Amino acid sequence: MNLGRSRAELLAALVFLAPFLVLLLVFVLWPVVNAFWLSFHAYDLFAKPRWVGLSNYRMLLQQGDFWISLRNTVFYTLGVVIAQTALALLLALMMDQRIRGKTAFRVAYFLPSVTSSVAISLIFMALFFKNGILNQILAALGLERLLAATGLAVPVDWLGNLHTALPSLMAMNVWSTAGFFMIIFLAGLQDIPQTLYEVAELDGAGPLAQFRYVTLPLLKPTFFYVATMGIIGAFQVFDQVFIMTNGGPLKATMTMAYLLYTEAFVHFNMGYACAIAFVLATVIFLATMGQKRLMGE
Amino acid sequence: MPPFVGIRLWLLVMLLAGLSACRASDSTAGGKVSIRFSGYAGNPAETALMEKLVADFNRAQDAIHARYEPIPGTYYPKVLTMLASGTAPDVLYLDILYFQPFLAKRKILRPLNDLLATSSTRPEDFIPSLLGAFSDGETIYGIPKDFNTLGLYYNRDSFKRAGLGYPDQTWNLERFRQAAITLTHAKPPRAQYGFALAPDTADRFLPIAEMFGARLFNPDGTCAIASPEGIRAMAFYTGLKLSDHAAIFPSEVGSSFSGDAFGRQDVAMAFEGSWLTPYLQTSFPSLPYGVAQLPQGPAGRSNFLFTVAYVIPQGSRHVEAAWKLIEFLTSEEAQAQVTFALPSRKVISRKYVEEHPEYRPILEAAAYAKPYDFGPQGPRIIDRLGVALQEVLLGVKPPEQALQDAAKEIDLLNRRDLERGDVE
Amino acid sequence: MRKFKRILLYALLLAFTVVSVFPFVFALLTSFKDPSQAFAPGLWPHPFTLVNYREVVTTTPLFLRWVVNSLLIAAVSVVLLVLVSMMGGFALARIAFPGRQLLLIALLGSMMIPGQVLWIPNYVTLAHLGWVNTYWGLIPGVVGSLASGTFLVSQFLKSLPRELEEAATLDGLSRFGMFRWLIVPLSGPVLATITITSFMGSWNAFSWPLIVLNSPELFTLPIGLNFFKGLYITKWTLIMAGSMFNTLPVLLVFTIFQRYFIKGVATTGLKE
Repeated sequence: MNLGRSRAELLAALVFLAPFLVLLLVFVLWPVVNAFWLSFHAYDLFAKPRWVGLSNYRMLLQQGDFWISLRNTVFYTLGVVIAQTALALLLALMMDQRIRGKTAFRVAYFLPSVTSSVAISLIFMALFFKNGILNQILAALGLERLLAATGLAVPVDWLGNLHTALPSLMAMNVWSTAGFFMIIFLAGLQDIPQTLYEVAELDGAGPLAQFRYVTLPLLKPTFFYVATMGIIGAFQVFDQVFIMTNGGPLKATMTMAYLLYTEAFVHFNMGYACAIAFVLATVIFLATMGQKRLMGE
Repeated sequence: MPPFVGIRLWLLVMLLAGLSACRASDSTAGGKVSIRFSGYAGNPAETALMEKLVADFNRAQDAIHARYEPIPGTYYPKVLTMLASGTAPDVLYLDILYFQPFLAKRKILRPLNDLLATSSTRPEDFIPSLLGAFSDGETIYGIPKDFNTLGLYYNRDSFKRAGLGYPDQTWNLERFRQAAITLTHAKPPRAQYGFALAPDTADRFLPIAEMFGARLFNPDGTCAIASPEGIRAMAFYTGLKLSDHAAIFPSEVGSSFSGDAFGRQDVAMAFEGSWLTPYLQTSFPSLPYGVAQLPQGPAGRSNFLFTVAYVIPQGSRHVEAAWKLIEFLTSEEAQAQVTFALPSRKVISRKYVEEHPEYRPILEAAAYAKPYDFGPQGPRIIDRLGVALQEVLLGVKPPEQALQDAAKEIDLLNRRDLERGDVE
Repeated sequence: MRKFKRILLYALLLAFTVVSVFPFVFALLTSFKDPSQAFAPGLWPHPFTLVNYREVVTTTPLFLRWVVNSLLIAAVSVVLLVLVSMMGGFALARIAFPGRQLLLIALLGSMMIPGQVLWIPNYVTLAHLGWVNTYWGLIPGVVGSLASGTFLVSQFLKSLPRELEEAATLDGLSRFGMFRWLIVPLSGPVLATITITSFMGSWNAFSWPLIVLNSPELFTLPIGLNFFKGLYITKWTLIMAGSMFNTLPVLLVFTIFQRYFIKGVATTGLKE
């Protein structure tokens, strides 16, 4: 009786799991193993893979482009995650108050995250032109002098200037994701029981203290989620670079994902690209773990 | 079954069936042989003409149906990906710069001699240097479709207003530079600069380098661009922007290439090929422009032959049909309709220039222009030179260091090519 | 003081609203500008013209085809993902089978893998299967959201009270019956979430379709827009009009269904 039951269980499980398992195995798990294997070979899609041992990884360490892309990606991720998390939290805190027109605000803030990266990239490309609307607005507001004081040539060619290209992409990224994470923070905020605030108030805690001792600690899981998702997303940035700058000017916006694409689909160094992919995965993993440690989860 | 799940399943089945029918297949359909043809898509005039020619071809005969699938942006990566996965079209564009890389490895190209032998198309009808550019010894791999050289496009009104005589045969680089400086002004109706230069492509810089007497390669194959002449050329070219303040990047005025900045009248001069002419005619029809040969440098004149050929990949399963399309596309009638380049057929080219004198400087340069071909690593070499140019223009390195670093890496590229026997 | 705080709050909210919305407004207005006025100072079109939209539709009839393609693919992706993740999540949550823990770990692990690692092996697989430049080839692109969707379902189902199922078993309902008649109807919230996230994911997908699709008539809207940009890179008013094709429908759908969207996203966060 028991044996028959567990056999039936297994069968049922298989039927329900089959499509999921097949897809997961063929298109996720097997490719990971395959990519790892490929990273020790030289493969250009035309000839058979040729074993090269650690040569790809060694070349990786020597290739200037790799270190540039690593530096860019880390800088990008740090900046974007901090900015978008802070902005999302700020927006969520503001939206958690009693305000009129909440729905309208919510829609406005969430709008950028439902738009496709292509459309956003094209719109911002036009915005960032030297003779585009952003510079016109800055000039009208009298902010050009401020920019000139930092040493930039005004009007600024945002995507063409070595120093402003990457920050411009970062700002665009924060613009398009802050609203999304705001919603998540809002959900987390609304999960905090009102009674806790009331107790804190009774104990004499002002709004700032309430924030520090009630809100923040209880928001930690949400924080962790937002930061993790943010890190994973920012590290993989590709679409915007591909459409707007192609890694330029002079590799200022070359991210690891873009380098990977170039090596794989432009130069056809598939094995080498797989090595880069694994290093990227490792870096993401380390960053996530580091972030976890930092937050004391 | 709850209607919810049932309907969804049914929908899924229908949609999957519908989607799998949506395939861009190249199999035979209804007796007709179906072939695919791809080229670049960056030039609207060219895309329009190709569409028309392919439609004409389909109308003119019943046996073959050709589909034109232009590829914008990164053409060669896409093509190589398709070749690698066996999904490449039957007829392709191949730029002269990519001929050696394609030829050197992978045996991608199908020789065309046997097809030519039994065809009405005769090799002798084509400009010899063009056909030779796509041949390896006696084996012909591509039929050139057209060609271009660089000309000096200038704005007649700007010159008149500045009191300058139009560019002509006597112009040299110093005169050109002075003109650019004079033409740069901030007077109404709008500010204008003398010249537009793209910061990251070396194809305008190289002719200037040669005009100063520099060579890209020494006879022994090592890179020679970092010679004193090359450095002087780099200093001259970048100086137009950095010290003379007479040139701008096209991107600074929202243009993606110098010809567009010229059309918008943000600059008074640009080095462009005749691909600019139809562009100006459609987008800026009232612009009063002229074309002259590139000014000459201390060491004489220099120019490059930019040309593209039709090729058939080895994997094509409809070689005869593909050849028929190529014959049609390179026929006299088809070539007479080209407006964005000069026809590759000798007779058509000459006739064309007689009817359209503004193309004359382009044709005259062909007499001394060299094919834009730099060996199996050509594309990467040109890219690396573009990086060097950009480094100087963005103030990252001085010309000497930028060129020396580039020369070192180019040598490395070529040597690696010989050793590893594999190439991008 | 309180009033001042309220004013400050609203001022900030409005400021952020302007920042959020301005790029869309800019794009919309530019799309109505005459091409020669593309970089003329000022936001408002002088003259106001529909020439860009006309040109988009006439010179690139494929635009409408791309919208249809995107819709079709998104619809199929949603159905596929919902079905597979429901079934898989049900098995993970309710069926005690050997290796369940292992599968769970593999699932969680796969959610952390960056997509780029999978590009090349999946492309090689496609090449061998002959799926390059077909819609079948888009499947590896959606599998990424499959793992998180399945996980979401399993978490949700775990939270359902077991009493219902035990009662159903006593009534003689088979496993399959229980799935169809009990679990699915009860899964409204998580179904909505997965539907919305997979729809958005499919509609906006760019990098994988870019790699897989070659023929222009097969393109989805994002890829088509990129193709369009390649053709008309210098005509910015045209490009903005093209982007509106991509953006306006989504904006419309979103504004109407925004409650579900936002609830769906909020649920995702909570379940982690």
